[in-house]
Amino acid sequence: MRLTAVVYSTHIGNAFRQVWKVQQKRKILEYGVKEKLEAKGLQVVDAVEFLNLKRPVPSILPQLKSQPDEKLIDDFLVPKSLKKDHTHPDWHDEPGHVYHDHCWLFTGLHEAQHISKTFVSNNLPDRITSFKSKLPEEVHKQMQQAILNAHVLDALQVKLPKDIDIKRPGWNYPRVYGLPRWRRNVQLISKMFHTADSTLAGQNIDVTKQQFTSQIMIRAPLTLEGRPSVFEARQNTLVFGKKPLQPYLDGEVKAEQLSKPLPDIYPLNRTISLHGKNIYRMEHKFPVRQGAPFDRLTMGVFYINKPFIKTSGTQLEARLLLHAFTVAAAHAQQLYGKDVKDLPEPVTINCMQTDSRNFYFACFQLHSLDLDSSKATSNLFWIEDAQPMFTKCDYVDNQPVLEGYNPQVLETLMALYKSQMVAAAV
Amino acid sequence: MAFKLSVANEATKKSLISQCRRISSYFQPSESEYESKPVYPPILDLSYEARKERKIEEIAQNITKLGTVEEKLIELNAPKYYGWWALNLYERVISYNALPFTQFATRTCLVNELPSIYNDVDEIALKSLPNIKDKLNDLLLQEFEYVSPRTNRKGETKSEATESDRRSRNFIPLLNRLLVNQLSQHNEDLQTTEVDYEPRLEAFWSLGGIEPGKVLKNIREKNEKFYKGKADDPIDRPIQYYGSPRLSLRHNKPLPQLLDRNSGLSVEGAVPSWNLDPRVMGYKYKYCRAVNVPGFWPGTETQHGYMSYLSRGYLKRRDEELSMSDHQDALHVQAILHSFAWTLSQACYLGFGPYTELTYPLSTQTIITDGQNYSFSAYQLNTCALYNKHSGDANPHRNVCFSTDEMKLYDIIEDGQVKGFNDDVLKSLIKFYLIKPTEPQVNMRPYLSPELYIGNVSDTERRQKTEKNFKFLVSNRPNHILKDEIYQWEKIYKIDHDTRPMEKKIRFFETGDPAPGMKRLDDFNPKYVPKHLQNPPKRSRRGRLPVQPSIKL
Repeated sequence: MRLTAVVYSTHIGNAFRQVWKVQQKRKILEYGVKEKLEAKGLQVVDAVEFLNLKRPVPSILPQLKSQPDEKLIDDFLVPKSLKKDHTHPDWHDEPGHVYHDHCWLFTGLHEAQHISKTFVSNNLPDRITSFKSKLPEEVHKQMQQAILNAHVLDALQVKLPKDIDIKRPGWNYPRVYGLPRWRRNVQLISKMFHTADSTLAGQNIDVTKQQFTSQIMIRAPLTLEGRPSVFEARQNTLVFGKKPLQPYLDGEVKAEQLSKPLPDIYPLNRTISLHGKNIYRMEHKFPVRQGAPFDRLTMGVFYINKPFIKTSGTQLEARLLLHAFTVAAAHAQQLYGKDVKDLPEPVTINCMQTDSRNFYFACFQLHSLDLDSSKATSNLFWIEDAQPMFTKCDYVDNQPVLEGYNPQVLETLMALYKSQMVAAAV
Repeated sequence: MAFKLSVANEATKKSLISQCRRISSYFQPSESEYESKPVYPPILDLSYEARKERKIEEIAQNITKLGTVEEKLIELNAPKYYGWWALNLYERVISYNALPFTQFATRTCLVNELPSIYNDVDEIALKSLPNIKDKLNDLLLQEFEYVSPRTNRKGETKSEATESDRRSRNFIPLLNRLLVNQLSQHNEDLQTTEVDYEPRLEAFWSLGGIEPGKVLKNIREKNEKFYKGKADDPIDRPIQYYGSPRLSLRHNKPLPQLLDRNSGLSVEGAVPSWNLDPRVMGYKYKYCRAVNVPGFWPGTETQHGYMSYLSRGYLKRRDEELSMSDHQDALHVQAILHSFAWTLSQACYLGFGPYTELTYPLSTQTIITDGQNYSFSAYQLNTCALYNKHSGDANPHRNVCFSTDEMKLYDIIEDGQVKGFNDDVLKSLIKFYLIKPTEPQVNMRPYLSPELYIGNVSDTERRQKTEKNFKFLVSNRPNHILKDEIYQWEKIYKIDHDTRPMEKKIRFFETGDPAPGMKRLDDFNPKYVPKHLQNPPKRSRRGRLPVQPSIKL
């Protein structure tokens, strides 16, 4: 309605409807309390000033010139997430490289070799293959039962991510409640080691020489391309022993291997996949302190928990190499100091990576943490081809079914594990 | 004069007879329908209590008759579309003075020492003690002194309970690994155990003999005609337990009996009679499904529990709030509830259940620990059906829990040494691992058909539907269709005080329809199947349909 005298006049109904608007501005009535208290010598302070409540708050509504009121604010019940700008506590002006669990290198293994200055051989070292032997049938049967139990017969039901078919966008599949990938990984690995332990115990080998740690973050701060860089690994289980593993290659043979040139990744720079970030932490983190009964790292088991990652080429091998490097580097920094470049004694570890179906076994020997040195290669890495544990483990026709069990996987693990036990006895 | 019909088979004979009956009455029934002595039907007690009992026994019989494990577990859920209004018990939420209620709810009598079966393995335990002690020493030092647990960057955890739980989550599997490997030379069965980390354990049972709530009492008192003098009659309350041990060991053979099921403590043990509604303890009721899952799906080879480890981080906060005087009772309650739930859910996978009584006992071992403090318990499940009057004197059997008090393995770790090592605790730990599971002499699955699990059934449609629906029901997902709600204003202005008699009665509580809580699980319109894909059942000549299964899926 047009704003006329009729609309503007006093109307009891309109007045009734405006009462709430008027009442929300509380009037502070003066009763003379302040003067009476001050006369008695008591200090009276305005509560708003005392608590600094009248901080200017950016209003989401447009500020009217006629009502430029500063609003009183209350602190947020749920603290706001930190903004990723210079106000973040971990902000550094100099960008650094961060390698973490979900980094996927663009070209795969060659890039990883350049980053960590590693020479890669395509078989496991002879010492490991000498421990490989055929296991009895019962052990394999037990392992197959263990696989079924880890993958299919575990009764945990958790809401899984939505099933998406790219060719049918918008189609909603019924939501699946079942086992998440991380659970399958952890259960399968622990059952594999349980089987391996039982077999070795049956052969009178003292299995308690090696102890495990659970999933904990490992962080190794290093320098790459002159910039500070951080190598992190979170999804892992480490195995520690009383004595370190003996290096796989030494002396002349080692020098010969290290003199071979690395494969070329021209025109890419080796740090192309490790984007420069301004927010990173440079603290060193390693779970086991020095002086512990089992403080020498002997093996690292890494998990691939993300469900829908599409990888191509040698990206998974590269991940294993860099994770092994991270863990070995963190251990070396703990043993020899944070700034060590060339290690007095090489750090040798076995490693394993799985996404609960495919297994990658490897050995890593760390000689130097100097990633910017003029030497082409300083470290050594032996990796075998990926081995699937089975072709199918699922409910088929409403019955749990395991197809295509591969006994090689368990036998390779046993070879690695046994070599650690025997080496620890030395 | 009897006339004998000789035809191909019974079906033909019956159809011929029924045809003939329409024509003439000369044909007499065949001789197989005659008995030498008259067989009268049983004389039924027609009193109110007897009829109520027969009704519930019929439900129990229906569940017992089903052939496969999954069908039995679905049938437990069949009467309630929206779920059971059940008492929710959680492993780590134990109220003050919960022991008498827990003993009554699980019909357990508590003994404060371990059973005699552990005395037999005493010698071997003593022999292996020194060897294991050294290794355990190293392990304790490693885990509690040198390994840094997960914290935020300031070295803090959310609470002391979280810190204790994290340490035990790391330590317990390592302890288990040590003992299994060192003792497998004495007990080969340890090598074939299956180790589970934090399995999901849920158990459901129906507890009889509980006092009715205020609402029900009011209804009964108003309805004098039917409920004269019976206002205080006890009712059944469903109970659902949710728990998750840190670690559990399973084997394909069950543990041996701890004591005889038909004499001694199993029939004479003291069980307190605690009939109050559990809400007075601070527990809550919720709409939930009846879920009986011992950590694995049916079809596993290793389906008998051997041992489990529980963690006790929650006690840190509980001791502060509820004082140390209830500390030991809380541990007993945790052990009893966990053991009962685990043996009950294993029993469900063997064909028994909350409405099907056991024919032989099941046992289990439990250790509650955080690395330093240990309490051991051994449990024998003699009876699992506690519905109606079976939670009281009408049930001769009682479950027995042998539970020790808490003991410290070591006093303190300082200067890189473990001080005050207690050998007795280690001996008990070792003894737990030396018990050998035995093949029992009884029929293990008297109430299951030869197929055992729905995966073995050859009828494709029944198998697919049952298996899919079982996993769906048991997933505890939130309801897609919510239960009808009575709004506050309706409760006040329509139900409690009828101030709107002129309004159209269209709401669900006004139309005289059955209450939503009475809706059965199969009470819905099934998905439309196009006519050319339908398989209508064949009608018999008389126009009668064949018998429908108990619940359409």
